[in-house]
Amino acid sequence: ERADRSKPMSVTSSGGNPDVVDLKKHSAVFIGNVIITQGTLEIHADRVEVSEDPDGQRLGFAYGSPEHPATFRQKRDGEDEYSEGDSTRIEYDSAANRVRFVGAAHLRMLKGTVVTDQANAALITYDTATDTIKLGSGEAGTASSSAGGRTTVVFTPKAPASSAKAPGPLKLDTPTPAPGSTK
Amino acid sequence: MKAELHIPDLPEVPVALSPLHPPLDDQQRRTPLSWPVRTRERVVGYLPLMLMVGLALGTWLIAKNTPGLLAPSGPAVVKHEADYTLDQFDLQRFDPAGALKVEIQGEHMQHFPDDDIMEVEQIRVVTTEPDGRRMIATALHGRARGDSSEVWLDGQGQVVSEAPGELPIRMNGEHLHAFPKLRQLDSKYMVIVRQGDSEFNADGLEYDDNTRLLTLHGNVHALMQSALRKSVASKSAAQK
Repeated sequence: ERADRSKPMSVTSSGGNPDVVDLKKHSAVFIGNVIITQGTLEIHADRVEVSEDPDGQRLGFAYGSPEHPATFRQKRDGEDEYSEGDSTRIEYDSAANRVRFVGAAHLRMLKGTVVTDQANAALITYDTATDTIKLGSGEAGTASSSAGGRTTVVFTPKAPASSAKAPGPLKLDTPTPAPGSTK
Repeated sequence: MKAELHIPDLPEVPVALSPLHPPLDDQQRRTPLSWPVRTRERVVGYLPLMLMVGLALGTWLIAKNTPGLLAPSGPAVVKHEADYTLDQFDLQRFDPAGALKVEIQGEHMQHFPDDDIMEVEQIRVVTTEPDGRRMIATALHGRARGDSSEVWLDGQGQVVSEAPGELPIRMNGEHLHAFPKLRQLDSKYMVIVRQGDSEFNADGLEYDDNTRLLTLHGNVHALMQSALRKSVASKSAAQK
């Protein structure tokens, strides 16, 4: 939800490795079963780096692995609507409400527990404020590991809008082909 | 047998020395003494020696059976007893340049010479750096080395680190272990660290004030204030 970004970011970790916080640069590295929660947003990962840029914007980098990817879940502004995603790395910019899924990225929109739309790509950028996603075939030159490097998007036709408040359909932003992309 | 004896300050007197006992004649020298007489002679002759040996043995036996008497004497056992106490005291340490470095205050202090430890009630330790940075440590009970190199804070321990232009850092725990001169702190027990609106809870910590790096151990829960709140707050303050 849009209100998430003004909420404090809570990070928990439990593991043998110590976590290191730089109280001068206001950054931190958490290792071992890390969970970031901020409002309705929740990210699970093996390792998380939280930093703050000069303007004081809070950035989170969640690292998983191909076998145990980092996962993301957040409630959308619509009623009982959620977005879920996973990839080997998730970059979360709390102030700009932007989430980037890098490496074997999957993003799903759910209505309750039913998946309505989903996208698979090497790189997915999801702007939760404007509800738009941008799909790419990965960072410059990186091989994309999702189904043969192809980007796939599946939209489920919406039932006639029952209430005025239902959010508009998900807008697809034309992906800008990354240099040297295979598409 | 004539002899002359000259003793100063006394009139000269002629002295005659006669032998103690008459010389034995041939008859007495040739006849051997009887066995009992010889034995008695020998016993009487050796009696003092045997007495001394007996006494020595007896003393050795007594000493042997006296616990701890013969044991090698180790270093003298120094009791853990205070040699001086102070009330409402203020102990200050200066660096060679004369600047105040470490200050220890407290309600009641006892100094123990055996390990050079000061035990302090309501301890307060302040370390100051030339660049203005300060660390203030307080606790219900504290123990400090005589040279203030190490301080143990027990019971509502708190260390506050202040640096010009930076948010103060406040570290709380029941058992904190500080190294004032190195400006370092560690704890193997539950701790809470606060800086501004952010808060970190952990099962243990190590902190280095020189680098402001905080290492947290065990289960960690961090509440990191969202940057937006600050910018929103500052924006609304600017609009007023």
